[in-house]
Amino acid sequence: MHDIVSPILDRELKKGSAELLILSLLESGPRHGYEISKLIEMGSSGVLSFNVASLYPLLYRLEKRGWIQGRWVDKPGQRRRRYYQLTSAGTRVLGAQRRNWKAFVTAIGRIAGVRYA
Amino acid sequence: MPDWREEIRRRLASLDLDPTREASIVEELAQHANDRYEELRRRRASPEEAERKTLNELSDSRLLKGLGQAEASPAIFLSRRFPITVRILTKYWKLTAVAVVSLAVAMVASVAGLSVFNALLLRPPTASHPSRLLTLHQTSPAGERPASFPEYKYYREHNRSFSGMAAFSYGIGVAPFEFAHEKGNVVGAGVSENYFDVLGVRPAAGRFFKGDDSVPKREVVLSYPFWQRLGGDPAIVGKTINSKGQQFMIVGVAPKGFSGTVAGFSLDMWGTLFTEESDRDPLSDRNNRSLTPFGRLRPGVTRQEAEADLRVQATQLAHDFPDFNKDCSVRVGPLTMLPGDLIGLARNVSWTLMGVVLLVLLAACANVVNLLLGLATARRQEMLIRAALGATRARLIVQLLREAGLICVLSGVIGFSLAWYGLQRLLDFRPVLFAGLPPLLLDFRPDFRVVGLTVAVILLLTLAVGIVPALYSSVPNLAGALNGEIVVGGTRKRRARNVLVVFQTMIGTLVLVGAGLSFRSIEYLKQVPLGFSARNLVFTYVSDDDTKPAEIAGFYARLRDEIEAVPGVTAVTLATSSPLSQNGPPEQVAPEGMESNQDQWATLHYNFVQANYFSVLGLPLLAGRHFETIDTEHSPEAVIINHTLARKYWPDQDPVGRRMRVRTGNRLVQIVGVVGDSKYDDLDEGQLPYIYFAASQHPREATDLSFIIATSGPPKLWIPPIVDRIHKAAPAAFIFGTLTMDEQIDLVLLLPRIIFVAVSGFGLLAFVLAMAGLYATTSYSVSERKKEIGIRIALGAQSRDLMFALLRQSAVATGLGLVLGIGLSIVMSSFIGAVLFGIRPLEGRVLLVVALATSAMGLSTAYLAARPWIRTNPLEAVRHS
Repeated sequence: MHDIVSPILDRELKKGSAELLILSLLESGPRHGYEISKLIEMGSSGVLSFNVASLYPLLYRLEKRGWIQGRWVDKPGQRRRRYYQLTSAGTRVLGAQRRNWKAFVTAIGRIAGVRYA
Repeated sequence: MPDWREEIRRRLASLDLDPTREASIVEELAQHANDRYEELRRRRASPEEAERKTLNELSDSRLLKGLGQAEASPAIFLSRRFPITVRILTKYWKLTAVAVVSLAVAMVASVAGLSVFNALLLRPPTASHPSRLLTLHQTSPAGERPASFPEYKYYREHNRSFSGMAAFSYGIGVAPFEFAHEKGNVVGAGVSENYFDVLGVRPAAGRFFKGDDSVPKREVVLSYPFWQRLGGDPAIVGKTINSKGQQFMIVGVAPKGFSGTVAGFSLDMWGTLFTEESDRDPLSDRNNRSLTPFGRLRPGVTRQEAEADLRVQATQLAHDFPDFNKDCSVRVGPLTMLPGDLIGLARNVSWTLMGVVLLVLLAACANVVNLLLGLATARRQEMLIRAALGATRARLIVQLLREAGLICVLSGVIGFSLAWYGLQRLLDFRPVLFAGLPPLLLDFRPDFRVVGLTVAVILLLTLAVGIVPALYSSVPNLAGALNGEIVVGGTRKRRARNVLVVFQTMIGTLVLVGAGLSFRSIEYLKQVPLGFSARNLVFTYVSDDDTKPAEIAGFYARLRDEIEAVPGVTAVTLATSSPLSQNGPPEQVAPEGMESNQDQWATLHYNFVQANYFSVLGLPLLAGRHFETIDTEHSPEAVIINHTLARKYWPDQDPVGRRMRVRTGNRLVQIVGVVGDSKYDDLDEGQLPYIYFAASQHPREATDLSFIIATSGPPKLWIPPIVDRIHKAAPAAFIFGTLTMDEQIDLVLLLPRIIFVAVSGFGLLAFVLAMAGLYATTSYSVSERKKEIGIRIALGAQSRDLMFALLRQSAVATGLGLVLGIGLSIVMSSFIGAVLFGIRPLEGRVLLVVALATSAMGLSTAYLAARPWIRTNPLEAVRHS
């Protein structure tokens, strides 16, 4: 049972959570794509990983929805990179998604008997 | 470190993204790949391994899928690229406007042409499942003919293919009416009782006819618009409407949008086939043929099966009634709004119109191609940058096609709207050909078929006008551009331009020849000898339903005396058919003693005439005598034949005194005279055999007569006093089609004139478009050689010599176009001969005039277009480029 459910749940969770993750990471300031993927990988100790194929389509989709905005920035001594920034709409979405996520995790926790500190 | 860009670009190509957006994505992903590669190297991966891993991640199918979804564009015209197309077209708005206007004008012409074509040939009557409705055409050795009531009844009762069979007449009538306080004229037609049921329409109010056709009824069904005119009250059903002193009960109202089965007229009401007892002889009269039977196919029965079935019935009829139906058969065809004999004519006219419209469209297309080529030249920088950024040729072509598509759609919408508006207005026009005839309803409004065809035309146009410029301008010469050379206007493009010049000249020539031929045709028709000398003639048809058959001869004699008393009237005669307006069905005759040989029977038309008919018209008497007072009902029947009939049977002998057998009634008649040939129904008819019967010997047949009145001055002036006199003498009489001889000729020439106006009108349009295109083409190809011209002038070339050289090149292309155009027009005139009278394949004068006109126009256009460039300062020209 575990073997079958796990990959599916995993995918769904990732899909739902990926947006939240990216928006949260951008809350503290503009970041470029590679940086975002590294931060997610390190922050989750390797459990979650984003490669080029999954990250950029998601970034573009969020950009298209107007939640984040990308712009090319030339920094002295560095390569020209595209930095993503949270928009005001994105900030609102982040707030709402956090609340939903919390409610979801609490609900799962109650049923499954898992407690968080 | 490898260069990832090319790799990424290759992978993204299939997404067809906007170039700027694509460049940004390629750059960003390449950065990411760099970072990843460096990271892997830091983790001590070998360069090969790091490259392989990075490439693997880039090859992940989710990338393409995800990007495709994130950057999705629903449809080609709604894509994010659409604004770019609009931006480009607005940047070159002048070129775009010219292209759109020329194409829109051509689209107006094509929508109008298609609508006429559709209305005349394709549009079925308003009915349920009209494709299951078939018309029965009776064929006889004399040609196709309508059915008599007994014939229709026979087919209806004996066929096994139709679930229902009804009949109507293409002949419609105008009659005065009175209803409550409303008064006026109605246009009506007689139909069989099951007419509406077979068509499958439902009444808007009341019911349709029911019962037996052979029982006369005074019932009418109103059309929806006429019902509205009378107040639109549903309680009208059951009330009576008066016409010519008779009362008709309104039994129902036809549904909205139903206008009957006769094109060109809007009917106000339908009556039954027979309205009173005295009308009953048509029920059994096998010679009274005025009905068009049609039926609805039973489920599962095919058209071929129905035809085979009806042919069996026709064979039976021929066996049972050899006097009436010998050698007759049937043919079935779709139920159309035009009678069978007009279909062929309508087809010829429509196809001619479509041909000219096609030329207009082609001329406009050539202009658009030319303008797009210009546009492509002006945008070569942009194309180069796109190509340099890695845009594939296919993508450049798609972009250029998209622009062409936008131009075509824009023109299509403008053209369609204008044409739709115009055709809508045409409905209110309602021309009356002449007094007494119902107004024509010119319903050419486009329907879904026209819309569908227009969309197809637009799609074809997009491909036709877009593909050539797209193919040319999508091969930018990168190396040449980098060297600062002029890359456009090379031999390939110049060849394309020359092809355009040839094409435009060819179209200009073709339309001029078309207009010239239709003009010549009218000239020929006007020169046709009519066969009678009198020209100061007035014709008028008079009938009176109130007069009993026995008194009809007296009625006409009295009116004749009245008309003769009008000052200035020199002679009056009566006949069933007036010149150039043949009435009645054909007859068959054979010389006495040769009746058993079927080949000896001639099919011809006839006329019941009074004794002075020939002298009033000035028809020469070649042998024998005219009709005289001795020719009465009780004397042996005398006939006068024309020269063609005399020569057919008695080439070297005098036919006077010989006898002939007439099919109808199997009579033996004696030839008393031979008169000269003349035109009987149309100017373009050949020398037809013809026979005259004496009206005095046929008082019962010669009932609906036309007066032919000779006047001592311009006949137009005599029409009011004559009509006035008839009205006073017989207030209830119905006067119809009062025309002078010249007006009658004009009426016969109406169709050729319409063809001439259409061909020359559209032709002029195509010619102007072709010449405008020629101007633009020449202007453009000279402008591209500005640098070359500048250098030549700088090297000492005289501007006159240069102009001569340019004109010589232009003349070669123009000449080729002219030769092709004339060649094609010769091929074309063999087809157009079916529509245009007297046209020979080689109309020397027309071709000569056209050749001169086209050459002169072509060369002067080229001169005007080239002149500004020759006059430019050479230094400036060289510097500019």
